[in-house]
Amino acid sequence: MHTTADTATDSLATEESLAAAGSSGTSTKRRSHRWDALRQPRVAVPLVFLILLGLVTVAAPLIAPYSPTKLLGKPLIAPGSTYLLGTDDFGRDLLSRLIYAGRVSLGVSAGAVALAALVGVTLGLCAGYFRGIPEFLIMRGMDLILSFPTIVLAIAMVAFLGPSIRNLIIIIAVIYTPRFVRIVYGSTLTIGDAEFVHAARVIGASNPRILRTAILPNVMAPIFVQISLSLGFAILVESGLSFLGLGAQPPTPSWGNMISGARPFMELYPHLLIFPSIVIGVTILMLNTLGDGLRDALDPRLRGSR
Amino acid sequence: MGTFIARRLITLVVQVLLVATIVFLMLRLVPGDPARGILGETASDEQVAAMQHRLGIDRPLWKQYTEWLGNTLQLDLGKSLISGRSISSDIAIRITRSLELIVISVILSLIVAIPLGTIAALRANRLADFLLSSLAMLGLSIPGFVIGTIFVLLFGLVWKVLPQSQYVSWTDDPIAHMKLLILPSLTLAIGNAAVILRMMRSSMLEVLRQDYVRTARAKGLTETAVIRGHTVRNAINPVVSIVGLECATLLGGMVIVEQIFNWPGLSSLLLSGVLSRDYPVVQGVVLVIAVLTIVINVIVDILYGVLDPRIRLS
Repeated sequence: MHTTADTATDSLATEESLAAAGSSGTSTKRRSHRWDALRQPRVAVPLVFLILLGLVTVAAPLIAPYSPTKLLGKPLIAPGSTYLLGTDDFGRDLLSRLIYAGRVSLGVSAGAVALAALVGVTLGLCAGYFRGIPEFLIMRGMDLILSFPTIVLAIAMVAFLGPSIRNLIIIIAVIYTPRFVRIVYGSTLTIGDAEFVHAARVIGASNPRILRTAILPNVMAPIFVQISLSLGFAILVESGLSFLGLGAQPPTPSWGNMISGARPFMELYPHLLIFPSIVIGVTILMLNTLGDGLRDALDPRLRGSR
Repeated sequence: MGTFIARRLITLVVQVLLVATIVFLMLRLVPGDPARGILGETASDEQVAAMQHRLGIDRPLWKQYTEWLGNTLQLDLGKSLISGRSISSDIAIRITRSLELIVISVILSLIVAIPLGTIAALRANRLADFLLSSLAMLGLSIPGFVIGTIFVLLFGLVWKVLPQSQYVSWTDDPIAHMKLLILPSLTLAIGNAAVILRMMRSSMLEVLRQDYVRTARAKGLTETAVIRGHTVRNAINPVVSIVGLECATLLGGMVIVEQIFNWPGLSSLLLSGVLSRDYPVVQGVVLVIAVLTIVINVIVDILYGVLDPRIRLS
């Protein structure tokens, strides 16, 4: 929503102008303000969950009891003491596959959102600061990407580029770049006219320096919110594509292809469906809650918008 | 109002032309030679040359482009490489089935989400609000393919209350057709309802803070009259615009839902095109879905202007 971008940062602007008048742009006042957000349960709980999930994923080889692709013997064993969550139709340990699948699903999503944020923030800053031709080209280009439904654009790009982890990251990044561009663009328009930006220009600061030290810190709050929400959507897209057979290719496990793989067996062996579903649902729930919580904490006036 | 609509229609034409250009260029994303990609490494040079000719990529780019654009404007999207059938007529058959699903799920989600969103706003920060908001958050977070798969498991396999059978058209057996529609449209509606509920809640909260609501209460109107006459009507505008945006999400979510419930709409055509590397089919369906998205958004914009005079004047 463009209203998010428009109203996002002017409250921080006055505070920030004080900070910019200081030296480094990180006054103690803003610091404490930022840490306050972490004390709220709606921010802290999902954050702790996500950090733990991240650690488990990174340390997968140390934590997973078995190899995710090794055929251990009997297929379709119910959850029990030997295989905590049971085994799948090939006799592979479900828990180990879930942990390793997190590497694919979270890795692709994090990579894609990082790329989207990097490109989107840069383009948004340029569009909002330089205006004129760059503004026109960048913003109309983003509108064009936005005229395609997300999943459809992703499917089309997979169809032509071919499915691979690298392509998935690029494709999801392309899809989510416009969100970052729009938010940063809106905030930059507001901030770009502030007195401390004019002041910076008068004292001869270069454009990159103004963008980096005066404008960027002011547009950070909505970017954090957007990163959190986009991660949730990126997981949705990645797992959706994998579910359709267009994402991570078997035997590489991903949360999406584990669910589609469970479909033929789900009547008799519902555990194959239930565990991956819970993991995806809870992860996205936590990211959305974090996004909401951060938004409310960083700017109460945005409450409820999305 | 006339100039407002005219302005929107001009942007519509420009957008459609640009989208068509992008879809045309998508074929260039294929690494290497698309013709060889379709036929595989074992194909002879003659076969590849013939396929290049069928795809039209043996001619200069600008010529391909003008031809493609010309044909597309005449609603001719070419022929499928696999079946040889006209892509436009295949799409024409399936598009109504997809739209049927989308219209029903939009209606379903509006019926559920607008009253619930209003209740959540009126009970803001109390138990009912907490429950409804949590429910909406859950609806936003569980992917459609998870919900759909669980529906199939519960209703189709465990309780056996809904048919898991093949597609039946409306003209053959309306009742069976309606039964088939329930689960897919419900699956699509859940995420959509969650978004609308959240929007309605925040929009209602915003309106309830306005001076005219205080005035209405002060002049002694009953709470029901205030809600019905002064707030819901004003709060609904942002909801209309979000429904437009959500249609794009629904057109996307439809792909997965159609796949789960074997609904022979646009998406099954798209997916079979993707899996068999039938590039013209993929291009055709993607173009049609993108144009639908744009058209829906223009309709919503115009509707928004009708509902709220402030918009069309700005």
